[in-house]
This record gives sequence, C-alpha cells and structure tokens, in this order.
Amino acid sequence: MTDLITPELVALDLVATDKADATRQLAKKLQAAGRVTDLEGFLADVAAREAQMATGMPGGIGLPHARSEHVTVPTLGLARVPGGVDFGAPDGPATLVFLIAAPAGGGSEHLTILAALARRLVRPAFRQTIIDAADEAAVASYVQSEVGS
Amino acid sequence: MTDTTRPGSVVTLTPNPSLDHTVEVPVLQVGEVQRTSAALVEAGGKGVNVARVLAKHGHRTTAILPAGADAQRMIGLLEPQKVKTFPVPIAGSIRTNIAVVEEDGTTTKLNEPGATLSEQELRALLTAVGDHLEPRPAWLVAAGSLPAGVPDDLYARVAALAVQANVPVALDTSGPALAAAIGAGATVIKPNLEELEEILGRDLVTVGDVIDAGRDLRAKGTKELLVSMGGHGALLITQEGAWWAGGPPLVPRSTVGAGDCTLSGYLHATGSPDQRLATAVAWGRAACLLPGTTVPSPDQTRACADAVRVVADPDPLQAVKDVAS
Repeated sequence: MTDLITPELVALDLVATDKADATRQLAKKLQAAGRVTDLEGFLADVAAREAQMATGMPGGIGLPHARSEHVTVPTLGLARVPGGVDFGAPDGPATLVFLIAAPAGGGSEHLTILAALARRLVRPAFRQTIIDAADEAAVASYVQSEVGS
Repeated sequence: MTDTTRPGSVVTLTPNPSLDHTVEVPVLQVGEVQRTSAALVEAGGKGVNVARVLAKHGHRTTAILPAGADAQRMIGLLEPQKVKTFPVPIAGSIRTNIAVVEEDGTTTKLNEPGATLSEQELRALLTAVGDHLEPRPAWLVAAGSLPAGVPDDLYARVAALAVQANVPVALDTSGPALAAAIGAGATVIKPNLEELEEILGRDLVTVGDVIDAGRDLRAKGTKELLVSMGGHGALLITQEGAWWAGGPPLVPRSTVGAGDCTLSGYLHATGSPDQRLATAVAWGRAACLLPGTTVPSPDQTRACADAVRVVADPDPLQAVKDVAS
C-alpha cells in the first residue's frame, strides 16, 4: 500500500499569505507526486469543505481536508508555517497545516485518517516532534509511523 | 438469539463526556470523613458507554466527543476497549463525575456540569457528526446531557442530519434537549419513566398511558419508544404494538450506565420487537451486576437472557409498576 505521507509531501518552511495560499502550495506537492490529478478541481473540493466549517484547531493546527474525485490515493500533506497562517482557530494562527486528500469513492478512509490525526494532535509531544524534526524525511517517517499504519 | 451477520458499525455522539470515578463504601455517612475503595476510573458519558458495550459485542464503534487538553486520558481509556475516539478539540476540559456506591447498591452520583462549548466548537462537533454519517453507519446514537453553551435543539439538529443521511438514530437524553428533539424524526428514544413524564408534562400511571405516549410521539415523528423503568423492566411501544419485558428482582451492584446498556442491547439485537426488547432488558440487568460503569461482556449479557420474560400487549389498565407481578 502507498504511504500516506512521503518526504515530497512535506514543506518545512512554508510562507503563505492566507489559508487558501497555504492549501494551494501543499496541493501542488500532491499534484507533483501524482496523487492529485486536477489541482483546481481538488482545491475547489477543499474550499467547499472549508466553507462548511473552518478546520483550524486549537494549538496552531490547520486541517483542510476533502474527499475528491481528483485524488488517486489517500494522502497527507504537511507544512510547517513558522510565520503562521489563519485557519479560523479561536486561539490564533496555524503553524502546522495538514492537508488530507482522499479519493471520492474511499468510503470512510478519509475519516479514518482524520480520526487518527485528531487523536494524535491532542498530544503535545506529537506536534513538538514534527516541529523539532530535522528534515522532510524525518517528518514523513514519524507521521507515517503514527498515523499511516 | 444468535448473531448471523457481523454487527454493524455504530457512531456515538457524547456532547458532555466525563471521566467517571466510582468508589465503594459500606454506608455513605453525610458530613463524615470516610475511607473508600480505590477509585475505579472509566471513560463516561452516555454515548461513550453505548460505544463501549457495543464494541465489546463486536461492533465497530466511533465515539465523537469534545475534549480539551485532557483528551489523551479519554483516548487512553477507550483504546483498549476497541472504541475509536474522535476528539473535537475544545478549550475546556472533560468533567469528572463521582459515584459513591454503598453495600446495598444505593448509588449517589455527583456530576460536574462539564465544559462550556463555544459556538465554533459546537459547529465543529456537528460537522464531525455529519462527516461520520457519510459512510452510513448502522446507527447514530446521540446521548447524554448537553454542556453549557449548547442550545437545547442540538439533538434535534443531529437527528435531522441522520434522517437526511438515511442513518437510523437513537436518542437518549432528557428535559428540554429531549423535548426539542421529539419532532426531529428519531428512530428510537429511550427515556426512563420520569423523563418521559417530564417532557409530556403528565403522569404516566398505567401501561395505557405509556402506549398513548408512544402514539403521540409517533405522530410527532419519533418512531419507537423504549422506556426503561429500572427494577420494573422496560416497555417498548412501536407502530406494531406494545411489549413489556423484565425479570426477577436482583440486587444491583451499580445502576450507573445500566440504561445505556439497555439501549445498546436494543440496538444490537436484530429480529422482532419483542426479541429486541428482551435483549435490551438482559443487557441492562447484566450491567447492574457489575461495579461502576463496567460494561458487560457477551457471556454476561447472554447469562442474563434466560431470566427475562416478555409480555406482548400488556394490559393497558395495569399500573406500569405492576406489570412485573
């Protein structure tokens, strides 16, 4: 089975003007990795989901996500945004952004990823390990081991 | 009763979860300092309890609940019980409830009000429910009290989401939250007799009174009415008819969570209404024999099944509390 997250899907020092920009930059990585077939179509699906409910979570987390017909395999993109970007969380901007992309026909797959992530994000050590990781490969292997299996 | 198919997946919503501490004392002495048994700590809240007992009986279960910095504690307690937690992050904390159980089974519960949810946290909770309805679980169970800051119509909105997604929904709550939800199209509600009297604003003395209540609720959109009556068993009123089920008196070790197990048994059972009611009562009785909110295993619920007696079309003129005799 394809890994949920690989080093190519990680951005360590993302600079973004707003959440749409942050999401677009991450989505481009998914597209480059061949996991998203139509960038604009996918971004529209993410924006539709984001419009229902802001996905910012306390603790500096942005969690844009969508099931989309433009996604080939369940995928997690991750960006560290040291300058922060507003995802609508009550306690301030997000410094970690997780982009969850799941194929449209995936049933509850996207929920499984979302739930696994939600359970770990409430653990400060999980966030800190990602923040402290030395490089993309370290982030990807840690998150894959925690959420992907 | 045998299970021929794999039990369906169940999603529960617990807007006001708790960390339940249960201590045992011989006799509770108010105003005194007393030593208790070591506290048994369990993940609590009605929806959480339903998820726990159904997971123990083979169902895939997800418990959606708001949780703050202490979410890890809840997740840690539920993980070994095969309940998947879906925490919706909030600024507040999960409340602590304390149950004091005396030798004779008398239980005194001290429940904190719980965290206050902001409008945004409430929307996040509803969004999580909506997301979980997409894969069409066998049941959505929304249960328990509402935390501060949450409007009374939360369960009505949850039920409406489920109806829209074509997912059967069970509600177990009381007071204004239940009253607001009776027109929302729930598949089943499970009040106890007092809770049902409260929302209807009238006394329910005879079996006929409860049958009428079931008919009134059905006219408003709630399909099935399961009324738990503690030691007096339970009544089920559906479009097809009315049934009572109960068993010989037992000495309860703890009645905390027994109602949650009753509802769970009803959701677990397949087959005719009388079989489902019998299973509900057996599960509730099994729960009473266990300390705290410990949930019964399949062996324990099965062991209670034989003692349960079902009466179809109980006499409407009989007092509800006399059907057992």
